Parts: sequence; C-alpha cells; structure tokens
Amino acid sequence: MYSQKRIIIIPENTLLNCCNFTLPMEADQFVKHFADQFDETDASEFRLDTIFRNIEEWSSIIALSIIAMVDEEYGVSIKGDDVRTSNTIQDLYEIVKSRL
Amino acid sequence: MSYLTTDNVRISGFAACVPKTMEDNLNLSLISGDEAKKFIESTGVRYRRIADNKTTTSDLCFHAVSKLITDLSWQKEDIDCIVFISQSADYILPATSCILQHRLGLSQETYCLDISSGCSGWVYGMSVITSLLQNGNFRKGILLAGETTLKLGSAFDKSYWPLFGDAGTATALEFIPGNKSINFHFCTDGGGFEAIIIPDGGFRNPFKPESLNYKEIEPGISRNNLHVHLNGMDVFSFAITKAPDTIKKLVSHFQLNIEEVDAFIFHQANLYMNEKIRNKLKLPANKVPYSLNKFGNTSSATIPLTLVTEWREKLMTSRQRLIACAFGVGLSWGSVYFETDKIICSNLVEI
Repeated sequence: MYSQKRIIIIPENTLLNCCNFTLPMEADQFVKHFADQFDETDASEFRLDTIFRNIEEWSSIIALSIIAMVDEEYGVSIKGDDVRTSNTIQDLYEIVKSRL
Repeated sequence: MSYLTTDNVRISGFAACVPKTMEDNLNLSLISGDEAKKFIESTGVRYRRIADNKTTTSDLCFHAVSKLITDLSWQKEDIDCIVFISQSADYILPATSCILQHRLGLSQETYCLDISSGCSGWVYGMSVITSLLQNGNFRKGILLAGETTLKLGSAFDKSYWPLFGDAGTATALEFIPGNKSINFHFCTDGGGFEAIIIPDGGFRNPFKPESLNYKEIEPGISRNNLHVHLNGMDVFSFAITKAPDTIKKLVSHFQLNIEEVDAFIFHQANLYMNEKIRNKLKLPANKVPYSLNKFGNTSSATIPLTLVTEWREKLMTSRQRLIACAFGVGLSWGSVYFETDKIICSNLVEI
C-alpha cells in the first residue's frame, strides 16, 4: 500500500525550523551557561565535546546547579539519569534541545 | 484539582523534641575536611541530632506532646484524636498511635491513626486532623510528626547521612467555631516512587539475608537494601519546579495576598535547593526561616521544628499568617496557608 503514496523527503533543518516555536537554542550559549556553574575552571576549557565528568571541579553540587540552570534558562526539567548517561556537554545539549 | 479548605479549627500550640546527641559534619570520617566545608556551605547542614538505639520516633514525639499538654494546661480527657505521621514506626504492627494513646494516659475514647508519610507528612497530616476536628464532634486533637531518619539510612552513604537528623514534633489543634479557614493544595507523582526508596523489607521485596549486603555504589556511598536510596538529582529537579508551583497555585486559588504572609516555612531539605525555591518565588530572606544548620533534614518534623526553633517569639506574641510547603518521598508535595494568634510554643525539648 505504501507504493501508492508519494514520499516527500524534508531536510531535517526545515522540519526543525518549522516546528520550533521557542527561541532558537544556541549551542555556544549553552556551553557558556554550563561553564558559568564552575567557579575555578576557566571558561576557555569548555567546548561542546568536553567530557564534563573529567573536569577536576566537577561535583554532585555542580550537577545540581546544571539541573537548576537548565530549568531557569530553558524551562526544561532534566533528571539524574540524563546527567549520568551524558558524557559531553553536547550530549546534555541535545537532551535539553529535544525537550524544548 | 486537589484544593481543600478546613474550617473551625485553631492551631493552639507547637512543640518539638530532639535527641541531645549531636553530630558535627566537620568531624565526620565519611567526608574529608575540604569536602565537608564545601558540603556545609552548599547544603547548609552542619549539626544533626541522632537518637540512640533505644529511642524511637514515638519517644521523641511523646516528650514533645507531654511538654505541650503541660504548657497548654490541657486536660487529657479533652483530647479526642491523635494522628501519628512517620515512616519509622515502632513496629510493623500495631499502629504506633495506639501505643501512644496508652502511654500518654489518654482516654480509651480516643481516635488513633497512623499515616505513613515522609517529607510532605506534616502538611498532609494537618489536612487529616483539621478535617476530623472541623465539625465539633472531636474537641481537641494532636498531630504528631517525626522521624528517626538516621535509623533509615546508611552511615556509609555520604549522599544521605550528613544531610539528615532525628526529631519528633507535636501540633495541638482544637475546634473553635468560626475560626479562620485553613487552605491546602496537594499533589502526587507516584511515577517518581523510586527517587527515594527503601527497596527491601516491605511486602513487595520481603526481607531476605541478602538484604543486609552492603553495595558500594561509588566511593563514599555504600548501603544495603534496607537503607534509604536517595536519588539526589531527581529529587532536586522535582523540588525546584514543584515546590514553587504548589505555592503559586495555593496563593492564586485562595486569592491570598502574598505580601501579607509573615513567613514561608519550607520543608528543610537542603539550603541550595531551598534557596532556589525561595528565589523562584522572589521571597525576601527574612520571611523564610531555616533550622537546617542545627538539625538537618528531619523529614515530616522539619516544619514544626523550624517554627519552634526559629519563629517561637513571633508565634507567642503576635498574629501570624503563614504558608508552609513540603515536598519529597512519594513523590508527594503540598502547601498550606494558616493563621495563628499568640499561641503556645514550647521550648525545644532535648532528651
């Protein structure tokens, strides 16, 4: 039955743009918000591919402040498992973006 | 929609009892010096009281209520109901409130009820006891709320032990026709039941010898399946959204003037989380008292304990309009608006 239908392929970006009614979420802005939760680590050390757990200053309290930052800046609720299963800042960024 | 109003009930007094034995988080072997300082700074918890092996929640509540009945000059025969809120009951059965009826020397014509509830317990308990009293059949009642939290958790779990303390409290209430209404809002999300859980020892996972085996979850976190497993991150993300939400709903539904509220008494979870909640609601710091530094998180006891230790003078000498908000294990949360007018507030009892 599928053969009778015409399949239209929409580029992923188009779909994202037309469904995303909230303010666009900038990756570099997310990295900056992420870096703001650290007191001692220099902001230049944070990139999308940074494995945040390996940062010396990383702690359970900073994990909480990341959850709070995501709540305040993006209105998105993330859970312990979201943080635990993420390795890089980008992993978390993608989770937040998918819930906007 | 879980809004509730109860009428014709006055809150007549508060009392709280804690064990004399104190633990200082700066001296714990579980967390090192620097880590301990950071811990105290962010959680706000330095000292906690710990009950000895012989002392249960009902003992702490017994001493609190005995002092309160004396300070109120109440006749025991006028007390028609007691409600005991705890998740550290004396026995699996019978209900602890029955034991307390006898121990307190109350009449056999007393309604006794246990409610298994944790952090949100005092708010839920208030809805039950004021509902029992509001039509005047019962004249006076006592709400007992407390926990020996340190008997529920592992001493080798740094994500639990340094945060929690033991306490028992008593709230005295009586039927007074025409007294100002008490307003409540309640919520539940059982989808989060595993966020704070003791996995074994109930009837879903009955006790077995392996329940006693310690497992190291990560360095500094060892516990067995009869201990509380606390998922701090999940509880945090839950509380910073749900606690402000219930207070906003309570204020809006009952058209309360938030400016006129004298104090907002939050369940004492930890300072970092509670300050997030306070800031979200834009509440001034002087209206949000903390007892965390001295007692830690004492589960359902935190709200009356904070009133007794931080708001006693104001409660005894003036009219107070108060909002209390509690959140935690269940997941369960809620808030209550109530007024008091020059009530009895016993000195903290230490045993």
